[in-house]
Amino acid sequence: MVLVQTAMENSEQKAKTAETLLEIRNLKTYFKINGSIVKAVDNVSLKIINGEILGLIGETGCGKSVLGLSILRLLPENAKIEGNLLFRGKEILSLSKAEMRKLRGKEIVLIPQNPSTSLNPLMQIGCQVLEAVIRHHNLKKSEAVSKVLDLFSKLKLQEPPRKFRDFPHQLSGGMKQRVLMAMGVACNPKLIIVDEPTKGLDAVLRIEVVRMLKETASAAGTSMLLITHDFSVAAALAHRIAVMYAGEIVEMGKTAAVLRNPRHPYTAGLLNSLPGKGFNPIPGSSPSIISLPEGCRFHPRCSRANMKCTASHPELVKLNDDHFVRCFNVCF
Amino acid sequence: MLLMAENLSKEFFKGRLNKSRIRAVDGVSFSINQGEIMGLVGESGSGKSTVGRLLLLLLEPTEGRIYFNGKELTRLRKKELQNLRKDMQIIFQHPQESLNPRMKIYESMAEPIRLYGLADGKSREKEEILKLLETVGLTEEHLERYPHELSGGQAQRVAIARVLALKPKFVVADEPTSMLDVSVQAQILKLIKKLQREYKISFLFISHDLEVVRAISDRIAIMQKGKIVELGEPEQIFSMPRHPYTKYLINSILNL
Ligand SMILES: Nc1ncnc2c1ncn2[C@@H]1O[C@H](COP(=O)(O)OP(=O)(O)OP(=O)(O)O)[C@@H](O)[C@H]1O
Ligand SMILES: Nc1ncnc2c1ncn2[C@@H]1O[C@H](COP(=O)(O)OP(=O)(O)O)[C@@H](O)[C@H]1O
Ligand code: SF4
Ligand SMILES: [Mg+2]
Ligand SMILES: [Mg+2]
Repeated sequence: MVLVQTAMENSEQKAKTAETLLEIRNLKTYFKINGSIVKAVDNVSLKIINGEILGLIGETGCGKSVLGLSILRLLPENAKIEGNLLFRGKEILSLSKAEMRKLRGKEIVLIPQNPSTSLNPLMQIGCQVLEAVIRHHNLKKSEAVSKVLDLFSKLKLQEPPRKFRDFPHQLSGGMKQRVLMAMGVACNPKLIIVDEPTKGLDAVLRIEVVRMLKETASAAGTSMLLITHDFSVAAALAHRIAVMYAGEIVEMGKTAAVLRNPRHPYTAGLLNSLPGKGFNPIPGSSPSIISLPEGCRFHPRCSRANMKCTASHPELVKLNDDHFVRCFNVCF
Repeated sequence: MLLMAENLSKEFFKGRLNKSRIRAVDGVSFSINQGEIMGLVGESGSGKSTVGRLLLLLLEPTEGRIYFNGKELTRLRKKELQNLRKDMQIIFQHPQESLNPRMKIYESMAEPIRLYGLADGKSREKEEILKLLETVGLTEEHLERYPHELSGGQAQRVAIARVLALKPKFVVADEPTSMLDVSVQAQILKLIKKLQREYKISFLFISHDLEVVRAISDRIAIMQKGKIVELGEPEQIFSMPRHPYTKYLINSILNL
């Protein structure tokens, strides 16, 4: 990313980029399947500033992973992407393939939800992490090895020395994801996109993963896009939270504000469905992104819906300095 | 009391030449009353699923006895056990896996009904299936679909409906919601509560999520390395945990 660094010399630019690391403007990621269009990410705008963790919350299929993959342009052939993705002020969408490769893994690391394709199947996992550690830290091999073993044991990969020699197919999905996490953290990137890091983990392991991400963020000042459907994980890590529904951001604000005082009926509904709050489900189920309801996409399930909600589509509006909501009848 | 486990143990043989042995379940005793939900929590690998499978004799215990409705299961003859199996069922974590991917939902639901001859004729069968669908909150339109055309929550409802067809007295629910979203999880938990209330079904509810278990269980058993280290009512366990491992688990809850 030489170009970006030259741009950084410019002092005006510097002041700006010191603030914003990633800015997404009006991002649309659509898929074409059998003649219909899947609007997986629909007009999303958000910012992540240096050192910030942004939690992206929403239910299965709402577009979280596609948003994460879009940032690194890791989309399948049938995807069409539109909008702006500015990383340190530079447009990601106009980078060449070579520049893109440099960006990935060095400046931005993705720890995917489905990690099977991200590890080299023919290489011992320890060596893969070791490579990353050696590449990014000035360590002797022996020091690097003990750093890897240390990361493994922190992530409760049992018998680290033996795991070191295992090949990817010998690990469960959750273990592979933790290996990738160790690798991602070792790379010291500017931004980590981590997709559902705690899904299916038990409580003890979950808190370890949370601890490790927190340590990484505070030690190295790494920014994160934390994709999760787990409110407690977002609460423990994120400075701000964006809630996604059917491809759109419906609420975004400081973590405490969103969790304590949700303004969008969907956010409020999700919080009410937590076991600690009496597990009151939201009626109905998420819409198919192929045939979205007219008006507000949430209206068929919303207890606050009125005529206006079925007729027109609400915009994301600013409630106060840092709180945005897409709803005609916000909760109080 | 509907079910009682007495000093239940299970050893697995592992490694080359089956030389190493692990005691996945180690001398576990507890009982479950009729219409009671017993939560079973512990870390991954602590032996929860093994306990569940032992209770249903899907695995043969290395030691110990299981009593169901006053009968000792391990002593029953094949025929008697076959009859009892209908009363004891299991729901798994991955609902898609417990449904045959090549069978339409209607066929999947009809399978247990036909197996046990629970409906005379096609129209009774359909009637029964529609009733079950309604109980679990699905509609007729789902019947013509294949499992992959359902969401995780819908597939889990089908799995529950299949179990309900047999009118069981006891169900092992092994992490039935751990792969589901919070709102869908809430729907399934509510459904399980309803089945407990309306049909007096007893559950062993296995989970590694303490808050889920706290919300749904009448009593909770905490499992560590094959042993139950503490057992009690949720209020007591959460306000006055006695065993250090229980305290450790409670401390690992991420509070909102
Ligand atoms: N068929 C088997 N052969 C060998 N070992 C087994 C077998 N089944 C289970 N085990 C071992 O027994 C122990 C308990 O397993 P079990 O599946 O009961 O754990 P669990 O508490 O349900 O864990 P999880 O939360 O991950 O589902 C584990 O160490 C596991 O590896
Ligand atoms: N390659 C693809 N082709 C067509 N549709 C896709 C593709 N990948 C994802 N989708 C659809 O895009 C939507 C968002 O998916 P995803 O981002 O994976 O959701 P999640 O929020 O669970 O991460 C879903 O409706 C999904 O089915
Ligand atoms: S706009 Fe209307 S339907 Fe949509 S969330 Fe707000 S109240 Fe509900
Ligand atoms: Mg995803
Ligand atoms: Mg298990």
